[in-house]
Amino acid sequence: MPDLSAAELSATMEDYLEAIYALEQSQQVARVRDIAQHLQVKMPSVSGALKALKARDLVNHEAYGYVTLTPQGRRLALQVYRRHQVMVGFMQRIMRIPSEQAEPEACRLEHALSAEVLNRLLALTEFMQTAPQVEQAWLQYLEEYETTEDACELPVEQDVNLPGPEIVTMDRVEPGTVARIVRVCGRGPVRRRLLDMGLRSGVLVRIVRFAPLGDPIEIKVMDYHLSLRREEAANLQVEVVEAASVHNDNGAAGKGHEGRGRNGRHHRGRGIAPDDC
Amino acid sequence: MAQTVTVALAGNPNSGKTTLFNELTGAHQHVGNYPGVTVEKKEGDREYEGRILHFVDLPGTYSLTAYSLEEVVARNFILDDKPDVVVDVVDASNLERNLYLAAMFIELDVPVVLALNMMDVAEARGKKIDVKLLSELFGVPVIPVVARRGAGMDDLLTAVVEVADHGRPRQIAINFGPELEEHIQDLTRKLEQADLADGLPARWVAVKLLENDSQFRERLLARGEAGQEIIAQADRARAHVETIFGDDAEIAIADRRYGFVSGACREALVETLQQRVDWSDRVDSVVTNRLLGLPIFFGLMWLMFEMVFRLGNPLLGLLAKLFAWLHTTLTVYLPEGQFRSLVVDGVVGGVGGVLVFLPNILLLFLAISIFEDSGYMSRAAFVVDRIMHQVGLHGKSFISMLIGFGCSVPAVLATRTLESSRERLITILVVPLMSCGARLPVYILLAGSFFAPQTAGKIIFLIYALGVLLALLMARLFSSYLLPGPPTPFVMELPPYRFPTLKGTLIHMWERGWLYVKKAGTTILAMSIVMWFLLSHPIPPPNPTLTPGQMGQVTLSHSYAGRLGHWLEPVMKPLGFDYKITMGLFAGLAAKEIIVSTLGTVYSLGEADEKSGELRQALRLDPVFSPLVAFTLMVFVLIYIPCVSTVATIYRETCSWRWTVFAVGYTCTLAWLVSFIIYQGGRLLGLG
Repeated sequence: MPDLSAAELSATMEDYLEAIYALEQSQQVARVRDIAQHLQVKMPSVSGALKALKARDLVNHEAYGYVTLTPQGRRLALQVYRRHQVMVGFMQRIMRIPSEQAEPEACRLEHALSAEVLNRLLALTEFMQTAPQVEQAWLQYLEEYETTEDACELPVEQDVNLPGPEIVTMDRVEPGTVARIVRVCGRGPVRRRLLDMGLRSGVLVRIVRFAPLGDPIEIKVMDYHLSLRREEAANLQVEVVEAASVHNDNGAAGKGHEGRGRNGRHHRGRGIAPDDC
Repeated sequence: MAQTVTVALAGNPNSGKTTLFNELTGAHQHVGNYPGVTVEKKEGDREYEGRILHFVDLPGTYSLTAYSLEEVVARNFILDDKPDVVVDVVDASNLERNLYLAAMFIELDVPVVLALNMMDVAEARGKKIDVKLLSELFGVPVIPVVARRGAGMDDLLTAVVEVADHGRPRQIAINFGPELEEHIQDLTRKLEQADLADGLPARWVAVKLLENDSQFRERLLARGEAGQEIIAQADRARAHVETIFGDDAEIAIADRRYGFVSGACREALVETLQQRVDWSDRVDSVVTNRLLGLPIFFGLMWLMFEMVFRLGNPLLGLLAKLFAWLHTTLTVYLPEGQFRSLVVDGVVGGVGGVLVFLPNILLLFLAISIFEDSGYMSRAAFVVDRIMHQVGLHGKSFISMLIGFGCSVPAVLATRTLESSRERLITILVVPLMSCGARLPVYILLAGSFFAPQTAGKIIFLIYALGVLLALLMARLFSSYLLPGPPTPFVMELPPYRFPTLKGTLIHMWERGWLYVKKAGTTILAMSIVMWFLLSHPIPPPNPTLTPGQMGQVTLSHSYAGRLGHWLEPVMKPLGFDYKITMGLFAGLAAKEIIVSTLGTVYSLGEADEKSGELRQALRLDPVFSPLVAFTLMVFVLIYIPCVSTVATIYRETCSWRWTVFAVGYTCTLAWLVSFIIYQGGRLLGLG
């Protein structure tokens, strides 16, 4: 992790160090003119900055001579350079921003953010780079999220003619229905047990059947079967995602379309289809 | 010297934990109870690489809250006994829900190894798990195993030893999100500063406080001002969290925890093929079907009942013959006197009394293990829960009550299938009201003596129905008044059907049966000897002029039991019972069918059974008896104190003298009250 607090360099100074480092890499040496060109500033500004950097013992510079980094300066420059690369990487790979836009944005962002936030961003980017599967999954989910039609809007506000999803308690849903839990009510051990069994808001459940005497009911959640009494199911507010197609007595309803939403793809956000995991 | 490593085996119910435990420890098991509670504790040893691994099977739980006894037991064992390693058995075919518990162990910061069980099932269902990745995400070793086939055991043991020696490979902290984290970290700091975490991970305690966990709350409230201050702060934090999330902290925390788990699942789990033919679902669509569900249930129950008693009774007959032989042999070879009487009537009678139940008990547990291991048990509960719920019991209580028609001893033992100790206790208390097989001879004798053959059958049926009715009524009363409290959640997993393994079923059957012999057996034996003493002492002076039948009558009335009959007569008078009946009832404590033979002795008839015409004649001639008295007596026999074997079993299963005494006390009171109402009511109606 870069140790930024020690040097307390201003953003401009960091840019200078970075420029000198880049020039050293590409041309072996850095001259004042090259630096001015690289940073698109005037030569006297460069001289002033170099003086300040020299005072901090970060560069070696004789008047009109080459500019080189001191060991400490090189260390700092490397940090700044790496940080820049990571920021660009984050924007390009994770945020999917094209490189020509990412470069300048990264330059501005890396100075504007506090060291703490920057460190977290770096950690995230590094983590993604070291775990390609995570990165791939992330991108896949992001894409899925963005291509789902109703990504962000609530259908209620979309169309007044179409009533919004009706919210009912789970004990009042017919077998064969797929529903999404909206809220877990109740209190004490019953609610806690419901939570522990994975019945939490956002999760899709499928009402499989009622017991022969009408109570309890059997549901399928996260790919396993659970039975609960009606009075317990009444603690779960759900919205119907897929109504029971044909009302038939249990059995026949228990096949096929497990936990798929309206548009037949995985549910976004916290929605976890029963057979997801 | 071999070093002992304590390994706690944790996991969800139905995760194959017991199978793994059996596979790991084989026959070297020991079954007991956790101190002070009725939760079963199994321990077993396994030698590995020069070390003794001591496995403790924790109760199967979904979580580690303070709400259920099993969860408290599991978590206290881990917190207080600090096992060297916790092996969390995870059902790979149901990964997400199973990993939720694993996440709690990560939070608890204990040395964990995840045993990824049923990998074969998961693969057959088209689920591929990246074990290495999962291990990285959780920071613990993950070992795929198939406990049923014993696959992966060596890898698991190696990992266990490795973790015991070097701890967890990586520390992972579950992030609860900025709002919660702020409070968690704040509380953690406070707990550390005040040194109130009691050697537990302060962060874990902080999370528990935010979840409003009653156990930790009380613990801190008892710690003076500093503790109360932390509780006050936790309360403020919970209020704050509630304003942010619109739901309380407990929900928010469970949500984040599941978030961590489902994140891990999404990464480590690849579903290669979709929706296979799930035969388990197919079976269920028949077995729990609206129309077929109940008939199938009753059919299977009938089959079990037949197996336990039809198949068991011939075996029982053989055992009885063996003991009869032993009885006569010893009578012949031992010199006459007190010692012979003790050995022959007390000890042999007592041991016989214990062992005659064994065939029934083993068969019952065979049936129950098959139901449990195959997954049918939870379906049975699902199908009949509606009925049992009406009286505040669980669907599984039904099975115990049904067994009660055969014998109360195995019925009480069968309550072990109930997870909640409250429902278990209530079931234990009411099960003796189900009329057991031993009471039938008494009914046959009395109904046969005082009612016409056509009515006798109906009268006996009425008694059985009364027993069921009273059992349900008492269950209702107990659950609302005696043991009130929040309802135990029924929320119950319906695990996929599985073929029970022979090994698992046999171990299950054997250990339960053995436990009965060892625990209840010793108590039954002791009580039988006490009963023998009360019925035969003090000894009357010998009188050669009397026939053996008359001598028996004299011995009985001279004994403590006989005297008790006389003393208790005023109490029993309002029920229409005289001292002879009271004596018979007292003798019936040893076993209810003994009432018949005691009545034979009382009427100086020597050996007598329920079919004996002589005894029926004697009863009819006795002015004390009338059809009303006979009916009242049948009711009393139905309800009053269960036999000593049942009392002993109740004591062993509840681990409490208080509840045992209560069971005896309430049945006696109830018997008296109901008999009083029937007898006096009958007289008012002019039936007496």
